[in-house]
Amino acid sequence: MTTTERPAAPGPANEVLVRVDRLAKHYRGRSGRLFGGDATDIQAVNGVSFEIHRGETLGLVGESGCGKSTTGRTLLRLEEPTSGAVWFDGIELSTLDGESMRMIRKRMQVVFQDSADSLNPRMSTGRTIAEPLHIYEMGTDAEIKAKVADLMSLVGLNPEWAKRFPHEFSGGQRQRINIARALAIDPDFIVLDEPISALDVSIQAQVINLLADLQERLGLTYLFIAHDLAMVRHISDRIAVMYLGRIVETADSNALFEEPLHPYTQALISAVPLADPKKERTRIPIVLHGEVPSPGKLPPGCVFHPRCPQAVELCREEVPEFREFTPGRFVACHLVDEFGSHIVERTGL
Amino acid sequence: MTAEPQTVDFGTRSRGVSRLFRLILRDPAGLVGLILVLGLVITAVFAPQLAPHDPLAQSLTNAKAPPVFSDGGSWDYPLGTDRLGRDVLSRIIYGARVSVTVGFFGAAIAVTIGLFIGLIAGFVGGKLDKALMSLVDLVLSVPYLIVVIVVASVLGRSLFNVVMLFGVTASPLFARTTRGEVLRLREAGFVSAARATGAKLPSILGRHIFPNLVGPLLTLATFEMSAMIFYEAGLSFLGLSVPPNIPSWGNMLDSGRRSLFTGLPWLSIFPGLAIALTGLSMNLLGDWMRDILDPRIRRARG
Amino acid sequence: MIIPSASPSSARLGEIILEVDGLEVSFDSPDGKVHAVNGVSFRLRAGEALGVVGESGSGKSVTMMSLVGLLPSPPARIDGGTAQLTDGESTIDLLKAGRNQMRRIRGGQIGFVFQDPLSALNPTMRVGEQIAESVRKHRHLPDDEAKAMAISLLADVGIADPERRYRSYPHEFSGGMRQRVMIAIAMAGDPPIVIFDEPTTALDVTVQAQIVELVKTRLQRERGTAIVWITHDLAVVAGIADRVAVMYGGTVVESAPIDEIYENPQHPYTRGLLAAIPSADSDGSTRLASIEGSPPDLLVEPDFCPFQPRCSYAFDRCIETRPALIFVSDNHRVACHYDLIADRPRP
Repeated sequence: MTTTERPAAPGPANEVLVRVDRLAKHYRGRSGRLFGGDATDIQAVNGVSFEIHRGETLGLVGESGCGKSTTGRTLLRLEEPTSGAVWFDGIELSTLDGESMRMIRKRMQVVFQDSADSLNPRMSTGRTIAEPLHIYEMGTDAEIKAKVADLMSLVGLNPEWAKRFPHEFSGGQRQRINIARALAIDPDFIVLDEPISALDVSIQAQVINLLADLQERLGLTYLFIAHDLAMVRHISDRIAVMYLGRIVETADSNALFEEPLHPYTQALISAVPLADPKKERTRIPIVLHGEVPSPGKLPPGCVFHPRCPQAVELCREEVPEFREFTPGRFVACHLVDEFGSHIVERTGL
Repeated sequence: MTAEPQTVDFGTRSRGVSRLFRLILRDPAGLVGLILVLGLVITAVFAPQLAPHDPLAQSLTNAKAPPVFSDGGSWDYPLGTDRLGRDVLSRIIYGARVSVTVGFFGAAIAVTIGLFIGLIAGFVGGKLDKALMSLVDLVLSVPYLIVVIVVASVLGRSLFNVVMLFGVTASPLFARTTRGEVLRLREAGFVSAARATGAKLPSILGRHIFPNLVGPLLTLATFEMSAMIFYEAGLSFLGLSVPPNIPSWGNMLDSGRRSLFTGLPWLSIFPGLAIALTGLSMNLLGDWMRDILDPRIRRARG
Repeated sequence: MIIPSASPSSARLGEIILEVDGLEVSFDSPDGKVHAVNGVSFRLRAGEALGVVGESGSGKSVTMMSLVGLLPSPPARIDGGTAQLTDGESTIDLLKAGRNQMRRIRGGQIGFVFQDPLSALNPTMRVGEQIAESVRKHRHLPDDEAKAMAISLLADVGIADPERRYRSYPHEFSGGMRQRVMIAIAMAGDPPIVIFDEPTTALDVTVQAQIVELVKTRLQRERGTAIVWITHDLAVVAGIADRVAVMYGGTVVESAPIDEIYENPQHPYTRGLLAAIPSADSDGSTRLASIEGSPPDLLVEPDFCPFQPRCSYAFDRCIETRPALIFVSDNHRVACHYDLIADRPRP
């Protein structure tokens, strides 16, 4: 490796690299009526706050339509937020002009789920990986080619494949190309938007291991967006759970799985089938009833209350605050008391 | 992993002529179309070299000569001569120039206008998009044959007018296709990735949008060329296109029509064949291009 | 599986109702012949749930589609094998069934639920009518009875307010509800076998849990329907299947009862697949065991072990001949030249 090696995680431990504060993204939706229909707001992301420390992986999980991908895209300013703020390395992104934003973009990269859609079908692998280097005019043609060869080796691709086109690769290999492109300009932070969801199980493990290796070697910080809870637990240091545009719980990975506090987190974790028939037979899933409401018509109070098996009157009326119970443990639920345990369990309500 | 700096080959810029060549060999119909279209273009470009006679030269001594395969025909005039003794083969060869000019420049103008409007509509969106698309619909809703007749009678008969008119009236199709593709492409992952990297608009356009527009637009252009050549022949036939002193397949057909049943059938049969063959070849080529450029088929092969 | 099937099938529990042997399917493609299925063999017993696990290109869907004549031909071609469907006394070979016969078998003998219910449902027809159509076709009931039956099927698959929902269109339903409708359609003819092709892959985990629960209670427990559940997800199979067939490169590489597969996997691919799943308490301190390399190229004539290029146990014989699916115990079959238990090549 000539150019991609960098010292791991400079700066003090627990330094906050990314801070998201009450981020919201609403889309203008229209009602079904042909004329003069009321424009309803689709509240895709609704006041999301979290921090990501340098060198760590924050997992962002939730079911389809919960707003996790929109959160990632808005964080990267691929979409303009409706409100809220994002700080990257202490800089508030909305204060930046075009050129400064471009310089910040250099440090934040993204890998998407659909590896085929993420690659231009008419660009060779080499040209694809070199694109960010060309954008920032980093090096002569020869230097760029050497760097591309390095990057391809780094992600486990044969540099001789640089002249091949995306359709000549398998899904896992294409995702490696996407990762190589994201790494080209030595970013600090990568948003991984469902990077393994479309891959086969045996290939998923390859990509997850690659991402973990790269993080260790290059001191990268990840936001790992996914719906596969087992994988998220494996790769993440901390996990944030989203439901209907809100984060309902944030915790250390193990704590979240061992003692989920929010009723939605509990249902989500209990719904994951286990790859072990004996344990699987004893698993009792909390089956949620009903469907996720439309983000264009949010229920009042706690957005989860219509499906919550534990909901009480208060949940229908008041939006629960997103509070820190124990250090690093945030929950938005009326039923969790100040000690971080369940009122329902304790009092048998 | 190697320690020494390596150099790599990024390959060709597009997906390779050799691959296209391989693909066309698999499809005989496409190959026939390609060969015929190439033949047409070569004929048009090298008409002066290829034509055995001056297409305008009259020779009353050789008038009404039948084609070579009929009784009394000769190799001097392989496809016979008309009532004024002009060589039919030479006139068809020169007539290809009119057809190719109309098809090529008409499509070029349509693509240019359509691309421009489609890009703006697709990229800017909002009210401007709505306005432009309404304009496009308006142009599409005008019965253009009437416009042609009006233009021909007011501005006179000229190839330039026909080409401009065809270019403008076909441009909405290209505008719509471009807009649709742009709307699709701007949501594509690779465009998002380029934006996330900080690529500027010209770079996104040049690297990601344009190369992916080539396929659909080229396919559409092939079909439109074929249509324009047909329509031009029709307008010539009606006497609304090129002036009569320029040989075109349409006006040959028109002048031959009167003698179709009076012993000179070759005067209309041969230009008619030329028109039919051109249309067929372009449609074969267009079908083949649509097949190989269709992203779904491409993916299935990948 | 408590109540024997109330279906017209007279098959008894445990009796083999579908036996596929040496099935071979190929596709013609511009790049050559694609060897999609290369000698697949499996048995399905009445009332049993068979999980078919494999990655993309393993041939699992193609196998099932070919059984019910749903593969477009051309380009698909069945090159060999048999598929005996037993219904009481009569046995027929599905691969030789005529068009009309197959139409009766589909839905009447074998139901099918696809991954993408939206494309499997007719968008211009009310969902209730689509179920009623299937009821009419297979049970020959008059319109009003078919409608009543469709409404009760909607209720059976857990759709609230079935009378009103009968009149809804597919786009008015969520993904999970559409999949419920697909299951109702599959149940309409009360077939003794229902094949599920990745039915929950496109769904969220909480919805997946609902669908799995529905299939277990309504089909398996109440009707004793035999189920083939095609999936890439070993965890989903753990909860639903009695037996598992693992497919790779167009062939079954291992099949065994569910516990046996997880506790005593004997094919290197099965082992790799199980190791690649993060376990429930995996916290990232350990690396996942990954299977290096890429899926097999199906354009190559399959006269060697398909897994050999990615297999750490591979030796000469794996390149020379294709391993047969042999019994290693009463109900455990493996296609591998290497004996993982004895840690040496098989004799």
